[in-house]
Amino acid sequence: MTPKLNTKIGSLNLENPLLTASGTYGNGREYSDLVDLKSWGGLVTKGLTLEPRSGNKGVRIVETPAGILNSIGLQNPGIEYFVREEIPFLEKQEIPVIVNIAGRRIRDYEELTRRLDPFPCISAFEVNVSCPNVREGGLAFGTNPGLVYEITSRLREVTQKPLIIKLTPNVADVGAIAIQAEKAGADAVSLINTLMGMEIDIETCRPLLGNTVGGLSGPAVKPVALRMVYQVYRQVKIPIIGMGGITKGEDAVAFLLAGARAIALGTVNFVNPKAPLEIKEFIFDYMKRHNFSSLENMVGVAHQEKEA
Amino acid sequence: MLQESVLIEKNEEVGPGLYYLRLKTQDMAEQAHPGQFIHISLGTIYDPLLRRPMSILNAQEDSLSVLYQVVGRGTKIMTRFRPGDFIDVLGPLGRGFDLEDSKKHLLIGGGVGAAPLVFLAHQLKRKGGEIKFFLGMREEELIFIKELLPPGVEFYSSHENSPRGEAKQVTDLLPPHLEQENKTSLYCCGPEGMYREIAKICAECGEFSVQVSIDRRMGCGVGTCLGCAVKIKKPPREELQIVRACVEGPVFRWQEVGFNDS
Repeated sequence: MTPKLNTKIGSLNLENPLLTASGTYGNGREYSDLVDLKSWGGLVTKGLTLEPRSGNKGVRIVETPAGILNSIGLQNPGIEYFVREEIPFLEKQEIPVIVNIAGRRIRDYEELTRRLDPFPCISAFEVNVSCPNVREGGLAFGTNPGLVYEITSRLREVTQKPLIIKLTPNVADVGAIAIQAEKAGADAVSLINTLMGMEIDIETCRPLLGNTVGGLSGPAVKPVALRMVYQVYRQVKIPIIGMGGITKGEDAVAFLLAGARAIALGTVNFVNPKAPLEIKEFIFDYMKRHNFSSLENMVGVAHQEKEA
Repeated sequence: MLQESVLIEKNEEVGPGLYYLRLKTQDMAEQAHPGQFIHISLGTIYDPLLRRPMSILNAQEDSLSVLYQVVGRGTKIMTRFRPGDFIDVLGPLGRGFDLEDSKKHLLIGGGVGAAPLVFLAHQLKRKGGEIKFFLGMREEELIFIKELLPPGVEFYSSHENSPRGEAKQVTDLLPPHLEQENKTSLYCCGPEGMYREIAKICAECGEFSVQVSIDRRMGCGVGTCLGCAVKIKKPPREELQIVRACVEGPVFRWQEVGFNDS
């Protein structure tokens, strides 16, 4: 038996469940010496805003126990540059491209979607309503179920392409947010974005990050992310893209069993650029070992009652 | 850029808390350029998580070396690397020094940060021109660097804690060597305060080509995480750009980065 790794997010077919987590892989160029982009199921691009953003000042990245805190601040060159310089590159890649968009106001998201929708090389949109690092980076939307409903339904009118709402873990009830996204017509939810945290430099007696607070990622957040994926799986029918600290094949399998239909790798790319290859191989071998003929059969199995 | 599992040939203490690490890797040694760095995995999967960026001290035939100071958990773990072990290395990374067509090259290093200037001295030697190496240290802890230089390089050092009446700061050594009539290029590696001081002295003596290596906290080392942002202004337009120390740097022209606050 050869296990089938392909999966589906709304109308989007992926050859395998591995996606790049937004902001950890640029737009696919940087690692091309080491990893064939086609090894991924899809590429999720760095968060894009209408205007160029220069990002946050001061220290932007700090290593923490089994993780990192970042406060990049959505640095990106803006949509005009993206269309001019990045789309021609992305068009040549034989891989689904999911563009991550962020904005200050709902109409920023609408305009981004409207302008990007016509490009055939863009397969789907991931809507960032969860960046913890900029005041207007969407987190205000992402923590408010009503606003998530509104933003999703307004974008639904602008595009037929799959809409993925990226959720923040910085809420009391992530399920309530996911339910609103589903109700408003989202094709999928992705979770989790980073957990808000901070570090203090005890020599200077001040916060270490230029932005004071930042987003925690890496292995340290995996159990939190896994719990949220498991929880949301019970509350919505739309597919879940699971992410948060996935470092090894075992982690990836756990997310699939918890209910993720696809998974994204983020921080691990910084540590081990070959992780997607190793993780894909592990999933394949695991499926063989456990007689899962397709990924579909494996998704959410952790929710089944134990056989007596 | 390569990712390889490389053999450790040497990892020995050469000064107080200061280590010399030599790796066997022909491909990376051949590709390496002075001022570039390698990104070393500590072999710990979860914690510490990130690789450690290390400037290339020298690259010869099939080996590549770095010099590191024990400052935290990561470098402490590196001291336990043993010859015969293999470690995962990414590199060579970043943009190094431009080797200028000058009659005179002044290499100015402050502390352990001076390491990449050794590699640079070897490469400049092939190109020709007069090479002078200036090294700032506390006492005598980095004096072994002198032995790593190719023959024919003039060596000068300053000693911050020197009881004798010698130069205390590396910048004190420079003025007599800054003659405008020869085309002179400066290559600097050390703390940013040292660069500021060098720029001040240069401004009094004329116009020089000054390149500096900028130190930033790094995440990925290849340009995706945007953690190591550097603000630059490129003449003639002087438009502010945010670039990555790990890709567009770590070496920049002083005139591009000098406007930043200290």
